[in-house]
Amino acid sequence: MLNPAHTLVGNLRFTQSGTVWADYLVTGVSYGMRPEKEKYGVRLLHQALFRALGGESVLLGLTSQLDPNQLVARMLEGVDPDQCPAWVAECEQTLASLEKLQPGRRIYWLSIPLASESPLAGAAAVGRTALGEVKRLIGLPRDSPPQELVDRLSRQAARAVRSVPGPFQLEPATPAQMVWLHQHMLDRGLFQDWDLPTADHDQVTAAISRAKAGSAMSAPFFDEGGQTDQPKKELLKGNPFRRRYLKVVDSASPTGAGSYQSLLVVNNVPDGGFAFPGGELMGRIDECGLSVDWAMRLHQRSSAEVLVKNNQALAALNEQMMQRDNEVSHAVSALDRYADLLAEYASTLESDKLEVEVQATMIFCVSGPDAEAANSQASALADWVAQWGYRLHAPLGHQETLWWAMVPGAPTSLFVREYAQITTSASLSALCPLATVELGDAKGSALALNIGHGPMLAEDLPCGPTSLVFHDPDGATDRSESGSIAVSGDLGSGKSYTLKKIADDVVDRGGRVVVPDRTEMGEWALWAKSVSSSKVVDVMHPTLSLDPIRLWGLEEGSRLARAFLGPLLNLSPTSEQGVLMADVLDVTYLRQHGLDSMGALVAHLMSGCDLAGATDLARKINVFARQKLCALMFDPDLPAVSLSDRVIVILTHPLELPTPEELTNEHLFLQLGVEKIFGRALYSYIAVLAAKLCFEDRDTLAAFIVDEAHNVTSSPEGALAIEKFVREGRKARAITVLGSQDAIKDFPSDVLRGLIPVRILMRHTDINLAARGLGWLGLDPDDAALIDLVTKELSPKIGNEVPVHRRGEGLMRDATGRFGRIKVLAPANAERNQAARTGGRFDVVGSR
Amino acid sequence: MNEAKWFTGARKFPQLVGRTPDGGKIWGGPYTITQVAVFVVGLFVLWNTAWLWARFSLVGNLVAGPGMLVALVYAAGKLPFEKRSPLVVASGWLSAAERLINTPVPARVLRPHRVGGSVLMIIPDLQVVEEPADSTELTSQETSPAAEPVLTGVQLLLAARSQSC
Repeated sequence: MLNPAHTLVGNLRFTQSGTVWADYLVTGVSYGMRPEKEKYGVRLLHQALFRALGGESVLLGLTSQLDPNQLVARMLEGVDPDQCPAWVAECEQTLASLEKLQPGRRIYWLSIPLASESPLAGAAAVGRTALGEVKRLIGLPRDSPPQELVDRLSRQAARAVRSVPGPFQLEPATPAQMVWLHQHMLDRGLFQDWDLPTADHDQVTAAISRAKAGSAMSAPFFDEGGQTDQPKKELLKGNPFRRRYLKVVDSASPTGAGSYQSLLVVNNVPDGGFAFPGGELMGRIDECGLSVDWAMRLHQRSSAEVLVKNNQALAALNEQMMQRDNEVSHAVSALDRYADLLAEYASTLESDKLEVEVQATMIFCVSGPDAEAANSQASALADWVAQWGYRLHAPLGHQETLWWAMVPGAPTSLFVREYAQITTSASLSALCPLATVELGDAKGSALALNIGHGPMLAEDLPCGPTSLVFHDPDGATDRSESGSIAVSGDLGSGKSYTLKKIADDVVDRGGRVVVPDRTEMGEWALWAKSVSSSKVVDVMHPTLSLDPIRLWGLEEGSRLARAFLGPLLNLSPTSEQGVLMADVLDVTYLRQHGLDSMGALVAHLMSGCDLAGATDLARKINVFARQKLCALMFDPDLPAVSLSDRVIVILTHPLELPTPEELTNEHLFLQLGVEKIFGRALYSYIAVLAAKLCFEDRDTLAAFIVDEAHNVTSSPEGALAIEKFVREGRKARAITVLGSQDAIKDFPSDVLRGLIPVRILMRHTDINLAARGLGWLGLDPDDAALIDLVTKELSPKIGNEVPVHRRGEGLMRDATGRFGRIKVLAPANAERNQAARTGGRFDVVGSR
Repeated sequence: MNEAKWFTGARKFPQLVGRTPDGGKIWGGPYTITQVAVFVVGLFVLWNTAWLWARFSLVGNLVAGPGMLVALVYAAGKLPFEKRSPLVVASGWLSAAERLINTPVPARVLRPHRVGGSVLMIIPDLQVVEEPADSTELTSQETSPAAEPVLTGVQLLLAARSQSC
């Protein structure tokens, strides 16, 4: 037996049968958790694809390892390593953890045979192949196909696929990629996949070309049932039905290790049909948790051909009615069922003149380094597929036949045709074989693992091929988009951890961060200790001042001081005291009286100001300025925080904030305590300060991180400041990172909610909060399955704690509106990882 | 929620024979095509191997022969209909059996075997560099083995990036 291919040129595969096949790499279409309406769109794309593929074709879905280096290279893109040594260190450690995780991806491959343009051309092709074979046998060098023929066939191939919908982005495969495919099939289950060479990847192409002498594709050795593993005299022993696998050995392999592959074909399909969405067997195959390669051998028939076949079936049914007339059994009613199905089929085809019949033989391959692994995976896959109403069969004696059926260029055998399932392009498209769960940006910081196929099965053991989800705030600015991100989740769902992870990445990538922290334990202060160049401003134990006049000087500082004192003293700008304040905060006045701090201003108002009402204003300010809690704004002896520090954390405990009721009801407003009034003014000021700091240098990435966002957004000034920050940050590489337990309530305006493009919803155990969170994310808040997912399946507690490998799970909407399931990655740096944790003394890195 | 359907059942259904061409009912029927095939083949085999099994009295042989045939036909009727030709299934089983019995012919294909053939790969513009990596490595090792620091994965990536710039 010979390899079906004999020459690879461009994306053409010349085969021993004389037929030339054209190979393409296909890009999957994002599907994942898209809303139902969009899923129909994806299905329609598949339908158009199946209609575009006339005659025979082979569609492959291959699980391949993804080079961790490629992923880390994306983390390094756009970063100056000399300026960001911490980021380089983070990348080093991420690389190490990715090597353990073995990220993967699914590669889609389409191959179509090119029909001979004329009988003469067909005969010439056969003649050329025969001549080439004769030359090979007698040891003469073989001629490559004439360039004119290659050009003509390339044009024919391009014509054949021109109706394939654009989103599939068909890319002609290169000979190196075809060799990769062959090698991938030989090495399945041995974990030694090469990276798929890219079209311009000369090094890999050259390496592949040099790998074998005499033939670009190495010769496989097939052994069905692993006969060579058994002593010859024992061949008669054992049940052959238990050895339904194929041992494949690459004859060029230096180790001679065998790849044990179990090939299964769909034997029975659900008679009653299947639902869409929900029945996407091929598109969701990775949810089974196994590494599965699949192939669909497709054969499209036109309506006219189908009409003939259906008429034959009708005649056969009539004959059966006669043959089984008067028979008393359930089988007779089955005949009625077949007749109904046939009538429905005919009517379906008649009602849509563009509809075509597609016969699909669906083959799956699971593999391992030994027979036991192949057998157990085959059994697990068959069980998983059975839940969908399909039955898989590993035919005894035909494992190799199925192996070749997965190879482009191999003709479809009679055996493979026997397993063809018949349907229309519309129904077949409901399987969505080219659906992907891709999510996130193309580069940036590694925010999470994509667990779109299912949660992690154990530490470093993903369900299906998994990759990283990148978040690229820098790139968002370059694309004129907002890189802001919001995270919503229950207490302990991992929300704060996610925010700290993002903060880590911003700082390590050379950015700056401003964080107000209202927690009693000052969790962000703990985190800041793990970051170099950080300062903590503590309201309760002030050691640093945020006095705007001292931070920014008279010009800018006086404006910010007005913005702070206005809400603090509840002054109308045109009231008597409002006017007085404007007068004393005038730059000329400040300069004239040598006032260089808020403290000096208060002292001046109290004793050195001649303006009317100055003492009253001073006494009013002193209500706050005398408080220790307010020292960070009024104490002139405290050193001012340095604006060059890259991390500024402002601990605001025990300040409180007024509730919306207190703000809207006058009698409640008048009873507000000092902590609440000062808290409200300070949070507004922090928002302004953050904007000032973050927008200062438009080339430096900066983030304003607000955990428990209601602290800021509950006041109208704070909400407005955040909204303004999000709007303007886009132009200044500044992002807002918000955390909330109820996004709808805490992000009060539609504008604010709408302006934040990247959203993450983590676990909510409360059904109402989960529904609100889903609505905020952009998914259906009434979808019971989604509510169940958020309340029960995201980071579920087993006993009293969430298992390590299930922590940090959430649903994500990325900047392009795609939805998916993620697991937030821990900072690779152990110290940072520990600093980001707030789960108590047992929440330590490496704990279980 | 929409429904998609497989129409395999509309075209692939069990074919049974229950009546003679003139409309008469076949005794014990209907029978599957497999059963009919088994009957014909079985009859042929039994007829030609009578020397082997017909070792009883006349009555005994008349009971044993048809009895075996009936048993075979009955067993064939128990085979599940899987919307595909029983011959295809049988071909796999027979091949497997042949493999176990280890007879020389036919179905030799199932013996462990190598698939040969040479595949020509034509890459018109490929510039195959003459082993640059190995030769560089050799030279550097010869001159100063300790001079080359071991680069980490990320350092290699950064070095590659700076080279491509």
